[in-house]
Amino acid sequence: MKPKKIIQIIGLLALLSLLLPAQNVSALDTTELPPPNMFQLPWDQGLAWVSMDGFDNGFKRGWGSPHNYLNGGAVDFAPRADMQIGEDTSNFWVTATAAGTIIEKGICHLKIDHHNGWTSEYQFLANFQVQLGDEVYRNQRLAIIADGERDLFCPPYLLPNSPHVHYSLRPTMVGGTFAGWHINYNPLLNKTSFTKNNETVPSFMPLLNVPDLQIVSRDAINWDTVYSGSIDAYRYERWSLQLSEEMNSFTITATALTDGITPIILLLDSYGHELARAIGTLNTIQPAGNYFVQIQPQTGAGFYNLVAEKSTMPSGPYTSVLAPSSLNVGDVGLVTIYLGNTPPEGYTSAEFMCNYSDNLEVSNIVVKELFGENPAIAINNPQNSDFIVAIAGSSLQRATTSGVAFTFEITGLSAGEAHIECPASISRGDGILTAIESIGASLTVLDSPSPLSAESATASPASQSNSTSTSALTGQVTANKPVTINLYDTNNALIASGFVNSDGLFSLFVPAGTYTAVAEANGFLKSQYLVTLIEGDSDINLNINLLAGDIDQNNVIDQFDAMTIGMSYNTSSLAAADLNGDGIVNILDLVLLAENYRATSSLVHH
Amino acid sequence: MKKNIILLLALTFSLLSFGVANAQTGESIWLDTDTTSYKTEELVIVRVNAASTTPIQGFTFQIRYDPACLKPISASSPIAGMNGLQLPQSSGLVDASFASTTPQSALGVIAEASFMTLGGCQTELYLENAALAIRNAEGFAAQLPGVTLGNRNISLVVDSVIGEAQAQAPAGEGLSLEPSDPSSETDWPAIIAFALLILVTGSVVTVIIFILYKQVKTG
Repeated sequence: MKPKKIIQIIGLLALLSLLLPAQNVSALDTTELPPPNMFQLPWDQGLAWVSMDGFDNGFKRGWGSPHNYLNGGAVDFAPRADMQIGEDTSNFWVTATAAGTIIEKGICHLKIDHHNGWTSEYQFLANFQVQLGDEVYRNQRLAIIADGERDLFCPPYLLPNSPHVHYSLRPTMVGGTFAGWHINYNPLLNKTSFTKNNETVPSFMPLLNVPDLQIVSRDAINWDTVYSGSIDAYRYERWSLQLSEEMNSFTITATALTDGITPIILLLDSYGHELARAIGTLNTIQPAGNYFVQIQPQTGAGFYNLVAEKSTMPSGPYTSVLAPSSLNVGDVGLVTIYLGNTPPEGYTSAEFMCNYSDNLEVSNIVVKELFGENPAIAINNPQNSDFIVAIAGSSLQRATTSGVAFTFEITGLSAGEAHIECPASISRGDGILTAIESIGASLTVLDSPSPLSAESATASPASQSNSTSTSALTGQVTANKPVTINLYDTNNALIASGFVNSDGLFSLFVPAGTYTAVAEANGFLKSQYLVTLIEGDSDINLNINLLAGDIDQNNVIDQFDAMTIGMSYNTSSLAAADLNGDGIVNILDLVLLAENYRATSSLVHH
Repeated sequence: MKKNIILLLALTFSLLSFGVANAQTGESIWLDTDTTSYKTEELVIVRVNAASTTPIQGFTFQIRYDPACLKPISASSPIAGMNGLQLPQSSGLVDASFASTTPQSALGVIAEASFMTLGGCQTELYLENAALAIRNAEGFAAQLPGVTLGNRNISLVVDSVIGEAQAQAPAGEGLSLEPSDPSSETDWPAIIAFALLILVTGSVVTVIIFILYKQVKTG
């Protein structure tokens, strides 16, 4: 082949290669992408802003622009598409998209190091709330967007031409996911869009900043060591805890370091099942095994300190009560009676004289096989907050190891503190009963639902009466307005009612049965579900996405809803028509309505 | 003389009755158009009329059409302050809604909808539904009761001969009536880019094949 022809072919291949970057933008090495649940969008959780400008391929801006996708990309965000210079931006807060350290602070910009190779940058800011070197948590307010008049955008520069935050993430944010919104970019068309839950929106369309729940795995906890972490409504932290002793009494304390945050401590078994929870301090006794300590906020977001301290267990034989740390009125919990430090020669029999607070009801006492198969059992049934359980091994069998002697169920009768104790006397076969050390358990009986829970829905008193066992209807609702959940029985009588909390979560505790659950929000189409809660079965979890636009609440999103927006245009007089909750009825509300136009409310069988 | 006066009064009364009957009685909405014969690629403008003694703050109408014969273009209202509300459109049904922040008089033409004729055909425009709206005490748009639908049908004859291009556009702010099926929305930049890509790739392949052919031929 002649050299001239080789050069021609190479030239053609080079021409072809020019097309390759366009094909490969969405196929970046996944190790370069930010973790999908790590970052939120740079404004307050629960609010919707719009993107004003996205990535660039060098067509609109210079090749050196941070917006250029080859440089990692940047996106301009603003509370509304029609922001004006000089308008009041004092409540348009820019927040940290993930926890980190402030490593740069300029006249109008901030940079955060997220400690794992990622840095985020925020520009055109004013009224800073943080200092260089500060540790910040996700969703922490950093500054407001400059209004361009009282606070110039970036003195002496006059750009940009409307108040917004210029946000970038490095090494790259191309193909990244922020609060569940995946950023798409087509360099051929120079077009940036955002996709979440199969919905793709272009620039100038609302982007609701509601991250998916992220449970971050943290270190293993050592006794008496102080650890720090940060949590928010959509970010919990889970620490591992290994208990090596036969029985372990310990205290876990979570202390809020940020104003407004109330951390909840959850003790989970190795499968993630909840064993106990408390606000602030959790006292518990647990057998050897692997556990998790999960910290999540009851309210607020911010930093906390965590410390686990081991308590001394008896050196000699003892019995201890293992009970849940809290219980709702009407709820049933399992209590375990444990015999510890059993000597090798063992016990031939044991007598447990249990007492419990009168706001508890005891039932279903079940003796285990610690004393061998078919032990002789005598149970003095619960009466006046006392009961006795006597166990003796049959056929010369005896208890030679530590373990569970028996279990029973408790039901919360009324709210308040409660205590359970089961002092035991054992016999080694010498005909003498010897008392051993006893460790009781305290718990809190709560008005349902638990104020310790993350959910805020409440069951009506009627739903609690005459019920021996309740089931939970839980779920999450997506809507940017306050949502009410009502539960009706088959006679259409209201059984329970509650509000969805700021995380979009709710839970209602009602007796087993068939109900219609109705989720309602001002200006949104009702969502109705027929649910059957079965006693003893797993609880039902609903995932509800309320559709915006049924302003007149006639169960259909129609022309009259659209006309209501038109009649209230550019006003704030009708809250139901302000579908995006930005305080004004405008085109953004009509766009939201148009997305759901002609949708009707129907009953979904679950 | 007296007999003549009675005859004149009777005649006047009967003429008045006839006139009122043609102009729709009570509060009503009806369609009309200047002509019913068109050529292909001509603009058909249909007027939506209303007669209401109650000032309104909005109205809505739905006109059924044959998408094989007519292509909907836009709708607008000549009433000052009556703004079009852009909502998704379905093929075969014009769905237009307008609203104002203040009450407006609705006597005469309240909207004009325009269509383009696509080819020789005989078709009908049918006013499937229409309503006038007021703002109720709670602030919601509510249907003005007692409004009847008058003339709902307009028969059109379209000649296959291509007519003269018309620049006439309805007055007021236009509301696009093009059916909006997002899945079938034409992304022209993407199509052009794709076509360019195919063209360049095709050229390259052709050149490579030509070079290989020359190689084989000379070798």
